[in-house]
Amino acid sequence: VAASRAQIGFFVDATRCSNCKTCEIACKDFNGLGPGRRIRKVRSFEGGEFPAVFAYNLSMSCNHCEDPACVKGCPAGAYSKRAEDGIVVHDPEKCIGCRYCTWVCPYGAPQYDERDGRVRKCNLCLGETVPACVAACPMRAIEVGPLAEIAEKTGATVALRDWPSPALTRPSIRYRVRKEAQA
Amino acid sequence: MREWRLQNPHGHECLCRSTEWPLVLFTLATQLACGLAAAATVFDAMAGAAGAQPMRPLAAAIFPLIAAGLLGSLLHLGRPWMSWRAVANLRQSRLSREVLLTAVFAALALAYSACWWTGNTEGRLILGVATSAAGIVAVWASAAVYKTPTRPAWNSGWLPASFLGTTVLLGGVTPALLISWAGNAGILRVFLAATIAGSLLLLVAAFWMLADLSRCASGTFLSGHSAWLGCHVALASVLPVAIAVRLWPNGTAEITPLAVWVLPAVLAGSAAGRGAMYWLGTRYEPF
Repeated sequence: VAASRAQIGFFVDATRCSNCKTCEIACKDFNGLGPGRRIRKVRSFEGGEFPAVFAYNLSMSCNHCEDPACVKGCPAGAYSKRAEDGIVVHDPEKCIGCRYCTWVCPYGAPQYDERDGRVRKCNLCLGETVPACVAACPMRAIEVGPLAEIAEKTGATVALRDWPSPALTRPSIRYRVRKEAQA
Repeated sequence: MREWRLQNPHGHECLCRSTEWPLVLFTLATQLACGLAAAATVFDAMAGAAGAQPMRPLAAAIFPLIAAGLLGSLLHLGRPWMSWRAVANLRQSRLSREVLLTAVFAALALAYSACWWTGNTEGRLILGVATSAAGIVAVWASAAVYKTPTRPAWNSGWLPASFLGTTVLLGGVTPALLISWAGNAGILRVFLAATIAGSLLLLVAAFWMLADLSRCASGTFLSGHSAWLGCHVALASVLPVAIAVRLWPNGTAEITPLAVWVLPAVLAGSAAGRGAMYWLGTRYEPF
């Protein structure tokens, strides 16, 4: 997947991730989310057959895709993609709570809050120096920066086993994973 | 050694509500209204303005049905008072287009139902054709909303086939059961044929869906909705065909009492199938 110059994205070194979920908690704390709502999630995958077993963890929030399905799907125009840095921003004031974005996002990034009647998602902690998840990770496994630079990192890939095809929305994220997790 | 595989290929259960009853009501009401608009137009064309009077109560109900569906769909929204924004992204969003096209259908249905209610026959046939066409476009737009690659359970031809089948079935079976057909056996048989065609289309859609899902979902996943699907096939496919086949030979008989039991059963079967559709599509996250 080609990376545009201006696009900001995440880099997650899954070989460092210990599944401590500090990033999830920091995200929930920053965004004031109640139980069950996880704008950032750490998913655990395991497989293989003894003795060749494997497990890996993928920390993920919104991937600020270059061709975001949420922007195209939202009937209320609550989503927009910023021209200057490619961040996909959700405006809760425009959200009507139809949840269509939760259906069309391949990564389950938008999270519907039943009590609030609106969707919330990662806006990359706009206004902060670094996103809460990046600042909180004790393993320094999450970074954020220009996608063009991130894509050049050693081992950076977006072709992961059992992941939605990157061709769907061109996610602005790159992972470093062990070979078992590669597609 | 076996091939690597994930132990949990379907991801974890989504916390969202998964049956979506307001959307079941909305889609079924839209499809019933569209079917009735087409049925009233056919009746009008075949029997003439005077002969079509038995259809008057059903034709007058088209607009209240679509209005009830639209109002019911508001219950799906987290913030229904903001529903006016649902057409704010017509350029890109299929959902915005569905809302707009359904509103156009509702506006035409209002005029068409009013024609029948007041007994105004001038231009009624043309208005009926326009209302039916708008209804079919609205049903098609509704099916297009669910065609997304992130929901494998919906991203297939069975879903538009199911929506179309429900429209044809309800448009055929409702007048066939609710109207006295004395002297109109020929028109009754048109509606019975529509009933059979819609039922068979729904049956094809149900097996098409099962074939699709068996390729991408586990047995546990499928068994969770087998009761609903069985109810759908029995009440919305088998029962209408059986009734249509029984009524076909004596098309002039009084059949209205049957409606007391059969029509609610067909509607319940259609609702069960639609509920299963939403359950399948929203219960699990994409990965």
